[in-house]
Amino acid sequence: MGQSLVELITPDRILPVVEAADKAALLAALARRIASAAALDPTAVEAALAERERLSSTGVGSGIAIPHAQVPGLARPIGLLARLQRAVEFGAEDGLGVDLVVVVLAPEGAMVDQLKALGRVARVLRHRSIADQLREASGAEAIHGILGRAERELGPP
Amino acid sequence: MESIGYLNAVLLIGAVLVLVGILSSLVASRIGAPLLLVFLVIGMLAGEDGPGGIAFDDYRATYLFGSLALAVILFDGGMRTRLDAFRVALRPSVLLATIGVLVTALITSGFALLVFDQLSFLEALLLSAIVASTDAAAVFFLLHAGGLQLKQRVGATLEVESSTNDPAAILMTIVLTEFLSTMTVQQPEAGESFWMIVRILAEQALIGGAFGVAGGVAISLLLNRLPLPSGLQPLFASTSAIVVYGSTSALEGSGFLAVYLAGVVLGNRRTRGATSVLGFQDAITWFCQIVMFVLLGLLASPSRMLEHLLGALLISVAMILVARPVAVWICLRFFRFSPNELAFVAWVGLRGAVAIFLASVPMLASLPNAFLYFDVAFVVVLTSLVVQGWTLPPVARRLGVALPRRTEPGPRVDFELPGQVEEEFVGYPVAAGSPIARGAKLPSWARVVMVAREKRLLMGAESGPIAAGDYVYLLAPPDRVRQLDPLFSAPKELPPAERDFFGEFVFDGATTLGAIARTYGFPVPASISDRRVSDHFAEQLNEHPVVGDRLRLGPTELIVREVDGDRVTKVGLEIDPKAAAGAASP
Repeated sequence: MGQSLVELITPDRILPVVEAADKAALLAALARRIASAAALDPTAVEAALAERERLSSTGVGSGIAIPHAQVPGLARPIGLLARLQRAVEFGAEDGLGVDLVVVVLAPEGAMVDQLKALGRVARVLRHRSIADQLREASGAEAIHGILGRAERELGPP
Repeated sequence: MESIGYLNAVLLIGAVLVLVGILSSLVASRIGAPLLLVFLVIGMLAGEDGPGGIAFDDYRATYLFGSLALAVILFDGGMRTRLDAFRVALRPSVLLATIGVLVTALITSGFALLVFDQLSFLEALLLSAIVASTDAAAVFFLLHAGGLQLKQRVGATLEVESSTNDPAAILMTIVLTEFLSTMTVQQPEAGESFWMIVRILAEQALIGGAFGVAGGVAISLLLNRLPLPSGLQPLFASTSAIVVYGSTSALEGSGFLAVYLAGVVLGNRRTRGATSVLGFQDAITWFCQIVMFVLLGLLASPSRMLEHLLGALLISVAMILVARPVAVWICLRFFRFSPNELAFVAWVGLRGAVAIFLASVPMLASLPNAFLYFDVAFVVVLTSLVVQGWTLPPVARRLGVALPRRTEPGPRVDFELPGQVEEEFVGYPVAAGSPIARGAKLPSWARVVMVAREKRLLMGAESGPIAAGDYVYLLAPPDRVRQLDPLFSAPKELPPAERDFFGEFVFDGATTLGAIARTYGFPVPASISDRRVSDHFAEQLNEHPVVGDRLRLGPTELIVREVDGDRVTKVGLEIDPKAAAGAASP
């Protein structure tokens, strides 16, 4: 079964109000937050995420981005969801700025776990209605609730 | 005076039938029925056995209008075919249009001999030749019905096949009809007649090809040179196409091939009035589709057909399940089609108007069994439209050869510059949030002529920075002008189907496999680690990649999103955790 979405993205790793000037600042800020939540080196996390963005943008369109990387020092994948006050230019294929970001970190070499986690996140965010609910939810707990409900309704992956 | 009253009645009935055809499109789209089938059924209902009770059996008129309509439809199909389609489709289509037709006819004739024991071998072969080619009218129509967009490899192959395979079927039908109507005369030796057929086919193709290309160039040159009023330009193009058809046929070339190629040439050249020509073509193509299929429906005599119904159905089934798949497999095994693509091309052996009006050839020659040919051909076409036509969209999606619908045309306005065809004059409204409004630079080859801002017209130099709400008019080389579209369009959300199909993440074609593999921590052999994604597709899959092609890489799947010629420029990455788990467990 593996980790469910609500286990991947715990309420303490949901940031309903984030502000960032640009993509680099956003990635740095999110790297700091997720690193402190999992006792990781923030610079290493930021570098890993930036490296992935250099390969190609993780903006998937419709204002959503899923930055991801493998980093040493983790036991299992962790996720972080951030909602932006103002959309940030992210180099996404559709040219839209990004206002909903889910960072996914996985242990080094944990290919299967990483892809499973990414797959779960991507599957839920493909649904326009779910993304909109996440954008409108009142706070971290509400967002967490929506993720859980969405995953239950979509059934096993 | 009585005859005038009669003619008026004919006009009234004809116009009402066309109107019913037009309006039925509204109903047909609701139930997803192929529209051509609806037109055919309207004709049958109006005909002798239906409530309409019109006894129509003018095979000559049908043949005449059928040829005319098919020429118009092929010309239109050619004009909408981008030369790029031939990159992937030329060789497979040519094989399908020649060997494919022959194999289909031979296999079908075997079944025809079994089913109808009154037929001789040559007669069975004639019956099969009549239904051996796929129908351009049906293919062009049904492949695009309901906004369906197919992978180019299958879409283009089916289109070019259907546009080029009528000569083979027509030739076989005419030659066999001649043999059978002069049975008493000394028959040529089998070997002799084989080479004769090959020779005639080659002549038909050569003359048709030459006249088609020359005709297309001539129409384009004349449109550019002649100072025709704009209302006459489209009429000039369409009438010239009929001249190309007629003159080629008169000189024993393939008129259908010629008129199709003339369309291809015209559609791919810079020509004045191209937009209005296409608009007019669209209208008369619809008209031809409706009239042709209604006419064929009128011509049928369902009550007489019952006599051969069972046998005809057996032939239909044998063609769909045996003859077409075998012919497709024989022809396409040399090209790198995926099994799903092969299956789809095999399934879409759409028969249509050509078969019905080829069936009127033995009728006009008063061959014995002429009614049998006609009735069987009619049932085969009807079955094909119902079974294959109706199921086409779901089968395409099931086999993964349907692409998500792409964005509609941009906001560009094209202006005709008289006497000037080297550069295109275009206008754009600058959308809020578009790259240009946010300060992106125009490419060096695009020259701003003027900008309309707040009801004032500013010349290029005095316009200053372009802002949202401006109208920008510029000159650009015609082959590059499309690249401007995204610069002036507001960012637009990709439809969710896009992500379902192409996966979440986009990579450039120049990305190395090793870089992708390292990101997700799966191994790739050292030998291909430095290979670019674009080269990997060329190497592994097909020298002519098309959008929608898929290739497995470790636990992920790469899906082609964009190609430039034969080079993959963008791929999507599909995450497949199930495959990931499978790859990890021993």
